Amino acid sequence: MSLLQMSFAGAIMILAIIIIRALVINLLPKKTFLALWGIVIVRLLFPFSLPSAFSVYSLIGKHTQKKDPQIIGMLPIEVKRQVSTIPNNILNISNSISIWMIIWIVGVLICTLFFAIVYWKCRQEFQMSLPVDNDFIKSWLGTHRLKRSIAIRQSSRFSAPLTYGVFHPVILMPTSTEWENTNSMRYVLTHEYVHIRRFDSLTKLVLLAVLCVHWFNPLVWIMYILANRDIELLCDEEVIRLLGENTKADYARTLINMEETQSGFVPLCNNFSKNVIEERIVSIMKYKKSSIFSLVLGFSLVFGTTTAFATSAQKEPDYFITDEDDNTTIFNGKLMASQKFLVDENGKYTYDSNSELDALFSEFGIPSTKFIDSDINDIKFTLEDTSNQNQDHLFSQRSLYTEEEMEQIIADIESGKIPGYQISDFVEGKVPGFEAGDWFFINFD
Amino acid sequence: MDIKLFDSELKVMSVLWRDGDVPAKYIAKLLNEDLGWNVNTTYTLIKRCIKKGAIERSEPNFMCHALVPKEEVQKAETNELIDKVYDGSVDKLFTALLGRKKLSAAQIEKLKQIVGDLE
Repeated sequence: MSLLQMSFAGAIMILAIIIIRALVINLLPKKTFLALWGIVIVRLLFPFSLPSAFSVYSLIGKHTQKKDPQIIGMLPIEVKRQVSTIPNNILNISNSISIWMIIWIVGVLICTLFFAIVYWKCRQEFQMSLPVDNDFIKSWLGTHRLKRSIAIRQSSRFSAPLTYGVFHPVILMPTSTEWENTNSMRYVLTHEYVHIRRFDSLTKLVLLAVLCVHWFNPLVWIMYILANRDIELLCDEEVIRLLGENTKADYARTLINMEETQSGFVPLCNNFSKNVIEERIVSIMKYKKSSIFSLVLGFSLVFGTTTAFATSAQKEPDYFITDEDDNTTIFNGKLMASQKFLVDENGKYTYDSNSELDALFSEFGIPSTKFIDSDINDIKFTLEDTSNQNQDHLFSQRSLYTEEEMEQIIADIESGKIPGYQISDFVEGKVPGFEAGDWFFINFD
Repeated sequence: MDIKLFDSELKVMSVLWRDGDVPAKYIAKLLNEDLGWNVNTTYTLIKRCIKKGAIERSEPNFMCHALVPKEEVQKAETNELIDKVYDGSVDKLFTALLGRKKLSAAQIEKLKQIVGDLE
């Protein structure tokens, strides 16, 4: 799977999650969404493909393509020659790939550098924080122990509490904190404690890494924002679970009060952030202990979305080949033509002499130098019009074959998957449709 | 003279106000013991104070001299999540991504209303 395919598959899944999230966010345990984002991240970072009959891509394939088995030809009897309708821009592909590659790498570097600088700057500021000397804090730390030791410090440079550090977590409180308001302190510290316990700063770094790799994908940016919000929502949920469901209104009011003390003046009415805090408040107030129903619903949503969107279409065999005895061979290899055979606008084929195919030819004892040495790099040959119009589309659909696939074909011929013929028969032009003069052995003499 | 210094910068200044002119190394060692700062952190802060005109540096040994008396310094407070030090776009994008901005009184009122309604 190429990066672009991974990004596209990820984008489709993100789209599905956005819709699910908008519809049922307060009905499901928030863990559901974190699990879904987790699957998207795996999808976006690892180039595996799990074929599934229930994949949306299988369904789309069935409806749009009407995928009849493609019969490329009754090979030993007659291989139909197809006029290729390869789009002209194929000629540019090998050039453009490297350009896109460079743009992508530059983008990744810029993003990484940008976030690294922001992180480094923040980190520098965090380290200038001052210790807190407070009895409540001391007793709170005494009752909230983790394997990693938590430190609480203060800074006048930040106006909201935050947590940093994965292995040596530090809760950073604004200097303006009302330290004596132990009720609100309890909520704030528990919130940060949950973040630490869940390794949320690590999760955020992974999200950032995905963003840097898929910087060109706008849906990944949306995912980044939504996933960060869902981390907060899940954290809130956990706080209520820890402190008791009857505290949720109190907790919500604490959050609102903190927003209030922060607002000195309003430079710009920002609708987006208003919705963020509103989403949080509503989510807290609507929190209910997960029922079995919501757990089952959440689990099946994760399972369903994964099978539908994180898998790829089930591959159907590319070709049936039927020989004279009506034995049908099914195989996934591609037949003839390679990436290095290109078609220009006049329908002429050109042959790229730099092809690794040459090595292959020599393997089979074919003097490939004749290809390379010919003073014209382009070997031109025109295919006759096809006698079978129905099969026209076959070629246009699969216009690009890599050397690997080409090798596979030759291996298939070798291993007898195409019954009745050997590679030498193709080379010597004994196979109908592959006669010398018609196919790519044209300039052989 | 109107110099605004942050808490952390004031910690550096208070060493100078208490002990007089000292080398940067001395400040770094002292604040490492008191506050747990690493050497780089202290040096960054000293440089910020120099930039703000609160400290004068002289050689040798990076000697630091307080240019302003304690009484003339004002305490700076940050109202924004991240201050201007991150000049320009960096913090703007970051805050935008995390969706933190101040709310108006009306918006706060509406949020309280929501809590009341759902309670």
